[in-house]
Amino acid sequence: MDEWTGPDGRVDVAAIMAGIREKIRGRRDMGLYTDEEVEELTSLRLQAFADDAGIDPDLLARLMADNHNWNISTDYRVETHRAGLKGRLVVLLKQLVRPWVRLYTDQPLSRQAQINLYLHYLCHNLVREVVRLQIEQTALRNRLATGGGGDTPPGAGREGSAG
Amino acid sequence: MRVALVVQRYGLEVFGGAELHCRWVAEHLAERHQVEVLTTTATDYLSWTNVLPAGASALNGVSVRRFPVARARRVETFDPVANKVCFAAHTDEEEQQWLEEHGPVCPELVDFLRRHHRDYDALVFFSYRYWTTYCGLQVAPERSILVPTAEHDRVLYLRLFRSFFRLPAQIAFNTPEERELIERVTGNEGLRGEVVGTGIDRPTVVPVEEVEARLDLLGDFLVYVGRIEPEKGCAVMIDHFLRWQRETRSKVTLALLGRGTMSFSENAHVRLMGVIPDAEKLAAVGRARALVMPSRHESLSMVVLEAWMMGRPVLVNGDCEVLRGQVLRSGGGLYYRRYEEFAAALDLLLAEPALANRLGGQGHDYFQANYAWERIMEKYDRLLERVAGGSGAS
Repeated sequence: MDEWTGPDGRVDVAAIMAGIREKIRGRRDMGLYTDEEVEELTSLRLQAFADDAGIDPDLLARLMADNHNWNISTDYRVETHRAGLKGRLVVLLKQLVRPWVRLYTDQPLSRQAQINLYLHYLCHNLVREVVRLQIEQTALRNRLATGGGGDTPPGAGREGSAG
Repeated sequence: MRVALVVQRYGLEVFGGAELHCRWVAEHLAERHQVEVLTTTATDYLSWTNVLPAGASALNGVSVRRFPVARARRVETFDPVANKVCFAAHTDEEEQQWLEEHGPVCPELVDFLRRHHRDYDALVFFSYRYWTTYCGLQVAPERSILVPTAEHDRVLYLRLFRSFFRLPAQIAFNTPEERELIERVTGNEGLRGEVVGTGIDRPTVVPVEEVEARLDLLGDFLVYVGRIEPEKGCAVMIDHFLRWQRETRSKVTLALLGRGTMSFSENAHVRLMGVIPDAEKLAAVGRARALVMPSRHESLSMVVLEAWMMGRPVLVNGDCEVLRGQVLRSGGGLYYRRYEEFAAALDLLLAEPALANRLGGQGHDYFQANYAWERIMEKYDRLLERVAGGSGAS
């Protein structure tokens, strides 16, 4: 009888699933976090930094989203805080002037948008690397404390880039 | 026995689990009863546009009577009220408004039922959430059977449906989990009826060994069958699969069979096969290493039943109580809740073909014991006799 077969001779799905979960738990105890979990921890860390910065919550939510809607763009919306006929007139005037203004602003805005994007990725990846290193450090400390050793370096598992 | 089946859409051109479920039940019931399907002229559930001719016709030996939909569904009026009733405090009037916006509003069908319901011994309504079922079932609830096809979503929590589920004389549940879900959410313990489900029609199957060449699917592949959209869990499934494929350098392909409404980057490992004939679809399922079913909301996955009919194991979303329950009862596959479990289960199914085959075999046995058409028709006959006899109580 193999490890998956129950007493009734059938494959025991519940036992297989329990085995899978046990294996996952074991990997986590060794500090082998998945990329998904590292990403969750990274988001928490980024959120904490952003909270300290005290920026507009709406902008913060956009910064933390997967898309790039937070970035500046040359296709900005023309609007005004004025209401009624006066407001419509102001918007119309702005729209008329806009092509001339864009002659001078599009190029620096595009460049700044790219720099923003680069810095965004740079910071995000740096924080992620810090999280990975902290997990690795904790795992190493745990192994030292328990006198564990072995040849397998942390992070050698499939999800092990986190280790 | 004279039986009317009422459903929101009906026809070969209609894609949808509940509608296909209804068509198959109608065609099998027609072999032993006088069956008429009462439905709309619409084929698209997002717009309810009238495209088919109204009036009487026949399809695969079943009489069909179609009625026009009185108003199209419009996103700009439906979405706000749907969001309100599903996610915010709201009034009973707003729930009623949701029902009207959801549709298909088909007063002629309900008028017909009012005038002719005595011509039938029993009325069978499919899908609780549609206007045709909600309004039609109120005409003669004492002779009505409801096939709810309920999933665990916010609509089931609407107050509108609390008393509604007490109306039908009998309910044909798809699974024990569906029954438990409806009773718990609507606060109606001990609803009358039984777990019935549906069988699977098996068209002449293309030999499994031929399907590789026909579909240009070489090597090992997993298969997904159904609508390819984020709501069905496809985005997460593709994400999980690509990540697993990247990490393992596996050469396994994920073949998506069905109509796609979401965009994703097709590549050598994720292939959109589109809608293919049922015979080829079943052959592809039979040839696949496993079928993946990532949906979180199912009342009965007919695709999973098809995989078991073909003797293949399934890998299902464990967050769906129905799918998890089916897999645990049948022993016909594995389930996952997050990526790690998805990857580990897939590793096991692929590394241990003998285990995968045994799981598929157990699924097949379960299918034969519970979902063969003879079993399903026996259950329908029991329900029909109860309502036609006027007792209603089980």
